[in-house]
Amino acid sequence: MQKSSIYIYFLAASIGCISIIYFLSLLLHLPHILTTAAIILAEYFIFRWLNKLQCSDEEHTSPIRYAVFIYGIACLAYMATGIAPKHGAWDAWAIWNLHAGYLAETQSWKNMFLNSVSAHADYPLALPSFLAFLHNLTVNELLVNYSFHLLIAVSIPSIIYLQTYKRAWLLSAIAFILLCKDDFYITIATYQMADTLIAFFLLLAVIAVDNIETDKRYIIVCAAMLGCCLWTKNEGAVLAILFTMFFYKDLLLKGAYKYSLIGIAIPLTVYVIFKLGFAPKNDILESQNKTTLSLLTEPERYKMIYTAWKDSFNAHYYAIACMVALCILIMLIRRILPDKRILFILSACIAYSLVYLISPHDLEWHLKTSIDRLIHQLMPISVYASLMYLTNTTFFNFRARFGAGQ
Amino acid sequence: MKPIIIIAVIVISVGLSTALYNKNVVAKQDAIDSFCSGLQHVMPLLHTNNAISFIGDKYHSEFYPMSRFYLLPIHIELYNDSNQTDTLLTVEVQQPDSTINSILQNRKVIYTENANGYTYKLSTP
Repeated sequence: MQKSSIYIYFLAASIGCISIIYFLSLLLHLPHILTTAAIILAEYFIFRWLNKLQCSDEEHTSPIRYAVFIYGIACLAYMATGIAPKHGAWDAWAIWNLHAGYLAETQSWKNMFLNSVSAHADYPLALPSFLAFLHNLTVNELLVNYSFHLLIAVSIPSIIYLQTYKRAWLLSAIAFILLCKDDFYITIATYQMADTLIAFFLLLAVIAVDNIETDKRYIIVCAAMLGCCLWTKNEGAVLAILFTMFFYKDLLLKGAYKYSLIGIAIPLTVYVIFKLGFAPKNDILESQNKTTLSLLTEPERYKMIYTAWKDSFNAHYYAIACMVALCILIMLIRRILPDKRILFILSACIAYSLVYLISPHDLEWHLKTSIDRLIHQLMPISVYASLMYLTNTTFFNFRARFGAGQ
Repeated sequence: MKPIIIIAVIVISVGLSTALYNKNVVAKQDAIDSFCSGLQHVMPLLHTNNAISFIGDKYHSEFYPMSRFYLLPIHIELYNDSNQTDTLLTVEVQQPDSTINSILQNRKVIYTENANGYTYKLSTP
C-alpha cells in the first residue's frame, strides 16, 4: 500500500464516520457543536490509526509519473465543469439531495419518511447524512455537492494509479488517462448520486483485501469499507455479501473474523437501526409474492436484460469490457482458476440481473434508468482488478523486470 | 509518490473546478430554478404542521418532486380524492388546466402567484 493511498482511505473513512455520527446525533438530539466535536475527535483517532498501517516507503519517482498524474486529474476536473448539471440528475435532487436537505433540518428530519411517492426513503443515508452535516457548516449547498462528488470521482483513478504504477507503469498510466478522460464516467460522477460513492468504497475494499498479507489490520479497513457500501446504497448489501463469499478466507478464517467484526460493527449497527427503526419497506422486496415465479420464467425478460447489458457495454464501457474479457481469456488459455476479483465482478453482474428479473417495475424503464449506473459502480473495481491481473501475467512481469534491468 | 504532491494536485484541481462550476454553471438559471423561483413567495405561507397536498400539470410529472425539493422540510402529499388536507398547492403552466380547475371549484383560493409562465395557487376547503 502506498503512503498516499492511506490519505484516500482517510477520506473514505471520514465520509463513513461523519455520516454515522451525524445520523446518531439526529437520533439522540445532540446539539450541532457536540456533533462537530465528536466528529473531530473521531477523525483524529482514525487518522492516527490509519497512519500506523504498514505501507511502502516513499521513494524517488520519475517526474513523468507525476506529470501523467497531474495531467489526468486536471483533465477530469476540467471536463467535469462542462458536463455537470447544476442540481445533478433527477435522482440527485429528487432523492439524494432531497434526503440531505431533510437531514440538515434537525427538528423535522423525520418528515423524510412521510413521503411515499417516488421518495425512496428506504435508501441508506451515508451520502445524505454526510452532505447534511456539510450543509449545516456552509452556505452554498450547490458548491458543496459538486466539489464532494468531484473529489470522489478524482480519488478513484488516483488510487488505482497509485496502487498499480509500480507494477507496470505504462499499462497503469494508459488505464488512468482513459478513466480520467472518460466522458461517461465523469457524466455519472457529476450526476451527484451515490453510485460513484459506492464504487469508491467497493474499490477500497478490494485494495485493502489485496494488502492483508502485509498487515492484518487491512481486514478491519476492508470490512469497514464493506460496511460503508451497506450504508450507502441498497445494492451495497448484495455487494458486501458477495464480496464476503468470495474473500471468506481472508475475512473470516484463521481468526480474521475478529478483525472483520471490528471493521463492520459500527456501520452495520447503524444500518440495522435505520432499516428496522425508520426506513419503509423496499419496493422490490415488498412486491415479491406468487407472481415472482412467473417473472422468473418469462424468457422475454432474460432477453431484455441481456440486450440492455450488451447495449450499455457497447455504448459506454467497451474498453473496460475488453480488459475484463482479456483477463478471462488469459485465464482460460493458462488453464488456471479465475481471479477472485474478476469472478466477484461477474457475480455482481449476475446478482443485478436477478434483481431486474424480479423487479415489479416496468422492466424497460427500470433497465433504461439504472443499468448504466450499476455498471458504473463496478467500473473502478473492473479497471483495478484487470490491471492487477494483467500485470501479474508472464508478459508484463518480463517487461517490468526488463525495464528494471535497464 | 509523495503524498503531499498527490494531495495538493487533488485539492487544487477540485478547488479550481469548483470555482469554474460556480462561475459557469451555478450563475445560470436552469429549469428547477425557474420553477422554484415562484415557490419562494408561497413558502412563507406554509408551515411544517400543515397538511398540504399538491397537484400539478398532468404533463409535467417533475413538478411534484421539484416542489418537494424546494419546500422541504414541509411535507407535501400528492393530491388524490381521499386526501384530507387543509391546504392544496396547485401549479399550472400558462393555460389553465381543466382537472385543476374542477378541483378548485369546490375550494377557496387564498393566494395566487404568477412567475416564469407558471401559476401557483394555494387553496383551502
